[in-house]
Amino acid sequence: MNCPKCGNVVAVRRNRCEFCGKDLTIARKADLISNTYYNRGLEKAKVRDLTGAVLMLKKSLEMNKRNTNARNLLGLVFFEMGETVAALSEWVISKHFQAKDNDADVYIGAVQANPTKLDSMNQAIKKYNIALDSAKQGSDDLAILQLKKVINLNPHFIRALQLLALIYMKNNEFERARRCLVKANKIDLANTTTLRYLNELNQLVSGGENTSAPYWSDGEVNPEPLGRPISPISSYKEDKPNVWLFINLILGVIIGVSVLFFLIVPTVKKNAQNEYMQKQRDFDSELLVYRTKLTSSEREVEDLKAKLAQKQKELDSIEIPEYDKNMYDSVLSAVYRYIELESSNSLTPENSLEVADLLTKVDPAKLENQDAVKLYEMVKQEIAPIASKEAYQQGRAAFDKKEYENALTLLTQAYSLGDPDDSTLYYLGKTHQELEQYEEAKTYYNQLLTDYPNSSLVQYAKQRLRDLE
Amino acid sequence: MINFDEEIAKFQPSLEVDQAEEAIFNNDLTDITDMIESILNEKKG
Repeated sequence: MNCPKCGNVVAVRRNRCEFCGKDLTIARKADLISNTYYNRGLEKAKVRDLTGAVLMLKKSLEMNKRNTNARNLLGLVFFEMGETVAALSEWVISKHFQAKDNDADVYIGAVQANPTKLDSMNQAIKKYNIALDSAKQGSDDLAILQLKKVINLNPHFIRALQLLALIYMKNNEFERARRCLVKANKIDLANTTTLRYLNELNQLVSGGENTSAPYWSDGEVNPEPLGRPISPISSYKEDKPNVWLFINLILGVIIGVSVLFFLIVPTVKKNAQNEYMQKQRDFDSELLVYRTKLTSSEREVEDLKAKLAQKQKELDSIEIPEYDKNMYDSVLSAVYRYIELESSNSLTPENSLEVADLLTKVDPAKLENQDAVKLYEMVKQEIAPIASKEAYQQGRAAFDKKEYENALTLLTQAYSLGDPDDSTLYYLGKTHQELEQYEEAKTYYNQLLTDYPNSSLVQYAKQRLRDLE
Repeated sequence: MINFDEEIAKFQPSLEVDQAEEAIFNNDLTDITDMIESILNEKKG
């Protein structure tokens, strides 16, 4: 035991403190009584008589406030009854009196270790206070709502259970009230308030008869009171195998398949068909375009072929003169003869015809060498006037002698030597006329009229043309 | 027969956690030993 005055430990048998001399007789007796009450409180707590335990433990503390065991147990009882703040208070005070080796450390630590739980308990207390205010003001529905939440948060809150039961009884909801009171009774067996409410409930249910359960029973209310309360008939029915369910299922499948077969499949088919037709149309139009292009290409080919043939024809028609190497001999002969005559000053009209004969053998188109062509032209230019005149003279003479063939040859030579005069043309026409070559004769007469319109021979030519027609 | 109003009036508000400190401070920690001590002191004085 510790001395209440100085706090020092005093031996059990000593009735006076060795340190301060205080008389400890009363303190010892108080301590003994406190422990006795503590033991009783512990017994009651063990059998869940929490209300009784609280009374005993409070008495124990009245005897000895420093009885930490009693105080700790009191805190535990309060906590079990849902009185969180009261429990914490006792444990804190216990720690005040005994700072070391105190079980209160464990209890406080357990509460602080779960702040969520502590907060929910605090919320429960707040809601309980709100519900209490609502109940006092007559708002039973609101109070019931709040108290249900309180019980959810702290199922051990006995006062909340009792208040809720009271409100239910006030509203004639006896079954619910009974359930709340049963819960409260399980937590605290000998709670007078709970027992009193249960007794009242039984009276209300039974119509006044006292059928309350005895205190020393298990606390359970007679489950079948004489006056059975009115409760709704349960609508629970056992599940029977439902054949229609399967029938409906099968019908649904059949309907679904029918819808699929009659509605969806034709639509899909039609869509596919339309798509195919569209593709075919597109293909046909493309084919048409290609065919048109092909036709135009073919036409173009035909045109090109025709052009090619024409060009080939033109090409074929073009006579490429063959170059005759023998012509050069003729040219040289003519040139040589001309030079010979010129150099010897023996060029006469008679032998000019000889050179002209040599030149008639030459076809300048067949001469490849341009110098040879120039030489030919030069000699011809020199010889032609003389030879032409001589050929006309001889041809005229032959005509006069009626040697028409010879005259024709000479006059033709004179004509071919270039630039024939009106007489040559006239006598050519006459010669042909005499030879009964009338067309040729007309040709020369017309040429005379054209080339020499002022000639004296024009009238004669016209007369002969009239004769020929 | 229970009078509901009286019964409801018996219910007191519960202390919240915030009020624990005040409750602890106001807790009367006088036990019988303290009372006897005070009586004896009065008697002496």
